[in-house]
Amino acid sequence: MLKIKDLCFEYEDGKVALKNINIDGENGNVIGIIGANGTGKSTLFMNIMGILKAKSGSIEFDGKKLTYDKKSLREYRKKVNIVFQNPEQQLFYSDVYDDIAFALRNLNFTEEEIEKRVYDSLDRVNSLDLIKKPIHFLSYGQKKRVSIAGILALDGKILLMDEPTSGLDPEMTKDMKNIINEIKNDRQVIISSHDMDLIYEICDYIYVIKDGEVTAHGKPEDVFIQTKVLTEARLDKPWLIKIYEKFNTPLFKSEEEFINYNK
Amino acid sequence: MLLIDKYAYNNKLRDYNPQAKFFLACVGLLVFRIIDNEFLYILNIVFMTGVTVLVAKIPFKKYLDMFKIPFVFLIMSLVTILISINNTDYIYSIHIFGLDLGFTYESLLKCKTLFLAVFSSLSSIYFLMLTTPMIQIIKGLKKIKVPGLIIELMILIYRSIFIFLDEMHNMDLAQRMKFGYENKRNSINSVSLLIGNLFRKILEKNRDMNIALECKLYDGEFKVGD
Repeated sequence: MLKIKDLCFEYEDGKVALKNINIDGENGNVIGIIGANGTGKSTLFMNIMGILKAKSGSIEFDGKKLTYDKKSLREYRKKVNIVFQNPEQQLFYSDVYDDIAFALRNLNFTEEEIEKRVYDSLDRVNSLDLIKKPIHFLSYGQKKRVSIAGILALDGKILLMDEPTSGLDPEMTKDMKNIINEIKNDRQVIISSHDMDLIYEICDYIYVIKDGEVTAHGKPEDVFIQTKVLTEARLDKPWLIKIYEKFNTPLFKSEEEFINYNK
Repeated sequence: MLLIDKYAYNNKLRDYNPQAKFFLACVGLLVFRIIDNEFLYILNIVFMTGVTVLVAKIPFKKYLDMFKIPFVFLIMSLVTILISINNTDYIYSIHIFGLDLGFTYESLLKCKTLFLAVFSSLSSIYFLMLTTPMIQIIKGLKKIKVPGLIIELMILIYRSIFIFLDEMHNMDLAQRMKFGYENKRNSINSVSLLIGNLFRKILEKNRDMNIALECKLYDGEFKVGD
């Protein structure tokens, strides 16, 4: 379980990027971090991964405070993984199989175990047909899936996803939603995004970040009705909330609920 | 996307045993070269071209096009070998500036053999390149115990080429859309901007890649598997 306490972070030039961030992983299985561009979402993720070192405050995983020596970082990153916004960034190999196997080979798994895990994780993102393809033949959406599979293969406990649906078409966005809903069965997912509809539908708990500070947090249905907070954070309401407020219908949690609703 | 790479992944021989292809190419490259026999060279050229064009179904015109660039270099070097100065037994010669320029029967023969040797080696190389995806070549090299450092370099360079080309293509397109290549003056300016930006982008990508490597538990060695 991840717990962030009073985390502050400053860049080398003294620019404050994060101020007293508190995030409790026990609040939900899928946690959303929302905020406008440049508010510090990615910086927060880099802090959680231990790439950037916090100025003060702490990050705790399973009750243990994160320390920055090589060995404990390695142990920590076996459990806490990240999928970057740009899939290109985390694909190194020329074909899909080897790329997914990359992290596993770094951990010296046997080739049989690797094969099993590669197939399993590709299957979970519905992309088994890509297994023999070279990376540079894939479309953007396919790369995104492969990059997720490469992380799923690690079997971690917490998965950070930076803008999982940015740049995807509606169909792929829906697929991504299903993939996240499937992933959350065996690990906690933390998503940063400004796709409000996605966040509203799949998150159990959300944090709103504005200029490096958490300005609101709570269940999506509670946070997304706070118009003032959202406007200040330069965010928008999900369309399901807008319908609820305008027509006085029940509050739908998903598009299906809305479509199946008969007055 | 590189044309050669596209063919490597889409030819009819793609799934044929890579070691056999590797072996076949090596015969042409090493064994025939050591024996150094014109008849074997011609045999190799005909065979390799036949397999590449007829069996692997690489379009013949594209295949010929690929010989253009190496042939320019080949012809340049052949000319220097062919022509000699102030020799005696010329078959043909001209007299300018007090010098005898011409070529002898021996130099002609030498050029013929050299031409066939290069042509034959090229056809072997192209056969391997056009029918075998890079990743299979890398795995083949690993099997014959090529040092890990070289393999790592090949993997990273191969991957980077595509990122690099892609980046360059995008920037070039953006510059064209903004009329960056309208005349000589701004073309030169655009090219210099492109190169500068490309350099900066590479450094950025390198930083991003290091972060990603850390998150993927990289410990100093790229592992290829079997």
